[in-house]
Amino acid sequence: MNECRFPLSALTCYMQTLFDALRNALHLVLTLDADVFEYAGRSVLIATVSTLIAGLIGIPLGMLVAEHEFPGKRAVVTLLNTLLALPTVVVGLLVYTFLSRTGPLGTLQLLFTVPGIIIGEVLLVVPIVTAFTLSAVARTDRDVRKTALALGASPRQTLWTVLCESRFGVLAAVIAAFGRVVSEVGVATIVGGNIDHFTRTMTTAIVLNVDMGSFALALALGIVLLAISLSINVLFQYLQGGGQP
Amino acid sequence: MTHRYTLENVVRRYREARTGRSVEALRVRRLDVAAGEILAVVGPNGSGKSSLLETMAFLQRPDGGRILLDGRDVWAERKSLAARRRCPILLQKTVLFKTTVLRNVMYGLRMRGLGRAEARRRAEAVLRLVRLDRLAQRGNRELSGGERQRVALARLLVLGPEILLLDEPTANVDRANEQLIEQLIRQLHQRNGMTVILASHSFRQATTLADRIVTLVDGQLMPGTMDNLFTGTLCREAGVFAFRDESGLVLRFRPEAMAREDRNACPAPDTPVRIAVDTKHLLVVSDGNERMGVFSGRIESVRRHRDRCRLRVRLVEGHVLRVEMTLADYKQLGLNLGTTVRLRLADGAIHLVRTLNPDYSH
Repeated sequence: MNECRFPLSALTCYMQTLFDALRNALHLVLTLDADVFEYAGRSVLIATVSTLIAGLIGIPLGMLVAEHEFPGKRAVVTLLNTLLALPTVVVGLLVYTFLSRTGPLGTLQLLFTVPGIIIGEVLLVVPIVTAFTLSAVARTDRDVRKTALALGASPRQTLWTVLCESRFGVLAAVIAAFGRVVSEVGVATIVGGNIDHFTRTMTTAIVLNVDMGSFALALALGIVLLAISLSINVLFQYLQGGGQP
Repeated sequence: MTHRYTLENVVRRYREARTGRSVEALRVRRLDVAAGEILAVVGPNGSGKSSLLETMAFLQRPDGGRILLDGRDVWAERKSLAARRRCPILLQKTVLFKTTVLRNVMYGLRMRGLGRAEARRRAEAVLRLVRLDRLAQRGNRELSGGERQRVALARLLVLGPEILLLDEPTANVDRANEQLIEQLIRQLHQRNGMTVILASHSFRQATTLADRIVTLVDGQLMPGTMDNLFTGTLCREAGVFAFRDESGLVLRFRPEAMAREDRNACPAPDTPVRIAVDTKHLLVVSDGNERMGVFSGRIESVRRHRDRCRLRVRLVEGHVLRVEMTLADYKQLGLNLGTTVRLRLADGAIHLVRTLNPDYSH
């Protein structure tokens, strides 16, 4: 942390640190710092791909559970809600054991690689996308389905209509999943190994800098990460608003 | 006459959420609807009107019986999608999709694979017909109740249906919109000769629009209008039927006054039953034996619709019977508000709706 040159109060000192961090962050961005752009790019890539895969799995799964009545449905919903609070380090450890050389998927040699991290992140956020989609579709009026059928939609077209009518909730699921992955550190550290220029992400870089005592740099990276999250959320909100006439 | 629809022994059941018990919502022994006919289904709330119309729209497969559309058993031939596309339905609860009015109207056409430009052209034409062309780009939340209902109707009309099912089409709209919707239905029926099946709780609407009226009571169809519903016990006494209402009304009548299919009914003495008396089968007469299906009462109110009128007659015992007759007969008999009249049950006037004891069936 930067040294306080004057006998300022603790609050002023803290503000000074934040200000330095903001200045550092701006400096890193404006000078196109190669490391920061690399970490940020990797974080966004992992988050985007993981969210996309989780969406492809979780959205249909959520719809399936919401649209059908079957024995044990309540237990499935409870399980999904429990998995929302899944600790990232637990997922990291689980994926680590699977991908390690002695694990069942050891031959794929995905440990300490970006695809390995993506596998872990997908496992982490599939329950989020599924549970949020389920809730959004279940909240969509049953009469929407009936109306689509009444107007001659086929069962597949009806499902698509229900999904479109639940789009705000489904998009919220995607935003939540993206946010969870981009800010996640447990899986990225355990499965990725935080290897510079290979698997290091924004969050693991922040942890590393805190460990090394470079608080200002860590804060600067944090501010850049926040800016990325904000930009992505603004983009999603724009997309959400675009659907509403 | 060509029958567009034929329903045979159609049964619909639902599972009660509280008890998990299977409850019968609909039991239609037979219903024929002719091509080009306007049929009104009337009945109290919860009588099964929506279940009947949704079954006729092929939204749900019946639990028993069969539905023939132009003589073909739709469910047996697995043609429900094609049948649904022929028989669009205006549901009781209007749901507009979260998009513009124009896209809502285009929806059905797009689902049938029509191109965007052609769907748009047809939708705009129908919006002009329902006088909503100025609102084409409005969102679904920016409409009044009447406008929403007209959009919902436009969504069906754009499909150029030969069969139209309307479940309470004017239930939540103001008088002006109600008139506009009724006028549209009449116009389109006259122009295209489409078959219309209309569920309504409004006797005025049913008589104004329909060629034929049937009544649903407790999920069972009765011919005509059956506003006179009574719950009590029914038994045979010396060759005649005796019905005792819970509040003390006693109706004695010859077996001929019962509908043909119910004449042999013989419920146990204390079995609770519900009966319906057809408003058109209550005749205003000048004489008759009061002990045998003739009741005296005073005309309490009169409602006129076209060439018919409906009387509300309060019996001496305090109960009310509704009677339907032609305006010509009303005038000829010199009837008026407050006039004391004698009512006689014509043959087939009384229908045994159902016994309320589940162990008994006739």
